[in-house]
Amino acid sequence: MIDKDRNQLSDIEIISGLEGNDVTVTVEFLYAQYFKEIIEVVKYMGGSEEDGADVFQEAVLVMIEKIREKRFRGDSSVKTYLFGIVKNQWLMELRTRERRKKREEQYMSGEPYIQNTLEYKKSNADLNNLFNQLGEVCKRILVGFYFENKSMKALLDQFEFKNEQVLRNRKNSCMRKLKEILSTNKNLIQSLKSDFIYE
Amino acid sequence: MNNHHTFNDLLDLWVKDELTLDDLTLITGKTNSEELLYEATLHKSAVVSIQKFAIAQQVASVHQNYLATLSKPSNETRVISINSRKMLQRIAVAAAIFFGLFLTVDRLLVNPDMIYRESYQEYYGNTERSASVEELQNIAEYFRVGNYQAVIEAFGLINEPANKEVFLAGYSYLKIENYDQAEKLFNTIIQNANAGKENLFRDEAEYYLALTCLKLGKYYDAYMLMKAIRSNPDHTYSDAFDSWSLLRTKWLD
Repeated sequence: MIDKDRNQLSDIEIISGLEGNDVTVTVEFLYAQYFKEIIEVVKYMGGSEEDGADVFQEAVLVMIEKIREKRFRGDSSVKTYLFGIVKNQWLMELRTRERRKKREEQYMSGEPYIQNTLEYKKSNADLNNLFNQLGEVCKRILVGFYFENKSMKALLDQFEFKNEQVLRNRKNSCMRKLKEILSTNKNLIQSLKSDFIYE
Repeated sequence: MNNHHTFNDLLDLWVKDELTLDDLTLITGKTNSEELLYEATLHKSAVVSIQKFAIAQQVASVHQNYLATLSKPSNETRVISINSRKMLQRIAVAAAIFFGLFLTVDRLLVNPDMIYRESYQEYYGNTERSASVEELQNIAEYFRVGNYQAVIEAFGLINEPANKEVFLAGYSYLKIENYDQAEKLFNTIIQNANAGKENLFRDEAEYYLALTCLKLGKYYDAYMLMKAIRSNPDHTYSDAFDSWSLLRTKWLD
């Protein structure tokens, strides 16, 4: 358990915090420690403050995934690892923008190039859209069961279902709906397959 | 396997590595391995999406809160701001007090009436020097008893008044607060003296003319006369005006 009032967390505590179901405190620590510095790095590399903020958010998500997938071996400090992800994310973004710019110049000569938001924000937006289609109750049931690893009994206390079987039916119905929507987005499935946390 | 809910539960077990694909094939009886693999992969992707979504929600929440705190002025900034505001208020209050004090001082100290009162000396001069003894006796008597109006009336009857009568009349005008006439008569004495006619009562005329000018609001003239009187150690009224009175009279101008 991480002490909220402490100003410093060791790398071991950060890793442990990001492996748990509630990553809030640890993520808050990362923001407090590194956000401003990373904004400056991205600005130095040609980005804006908004780019820096977006890249930092994505880098934190990537780092959480790597840690949960046990792919962070601890060869470097958490800070170095995070900064490395930021640089890679930003370089990828720059390349994507450059490719898109060239493509648009090729097909829309004379039209000004409009820089869109970061590419990876699209996949996050896809994910949000996916869950928004499920409804609030489905979201909470599925997150409770598949992410927080709550038992059916624990979830039953949280929701007003008649009994555990009714809840189980609802959970399976939510899951079926999720899969139906997901099956229509092949790209998202592809990216999710490469991110499977339990592997 | 006919029960879809049970199939979902089995897929959950497979996702948690509690069952293998072979186990699933065996239990569900699905002979089409491609179909089973697709079902399993889709289920797995759904579980991953839930996990990613849950973490992304938490990070997004922290992100939004953090950006919100950045856009707000920090406590330190607020403290500085409050301190600055307090400091400005204090400066404003101090300035108001200072200005109030200045006005008070200005009203109380740099006040022509006050300078007049502080510098004023009664005239108790003798009546010996006069061209006409009879006329002088009348004027001197009226003056002695403080009947200044009678002094002025008697003065009006004199054809060729000497400086003494002119001065007593001028002083009487000053006493009855007819400053314009007082000024005129005191100036007559000074002009006579400058013309070499008669130098008597020149010091008295200068001194009371300076006071008359204060009453008339002619502060520059008053200051110049006061300064000349003070700088002349032989002047009868050399000690009548101190440097503080001079300074304040200068401020009035």
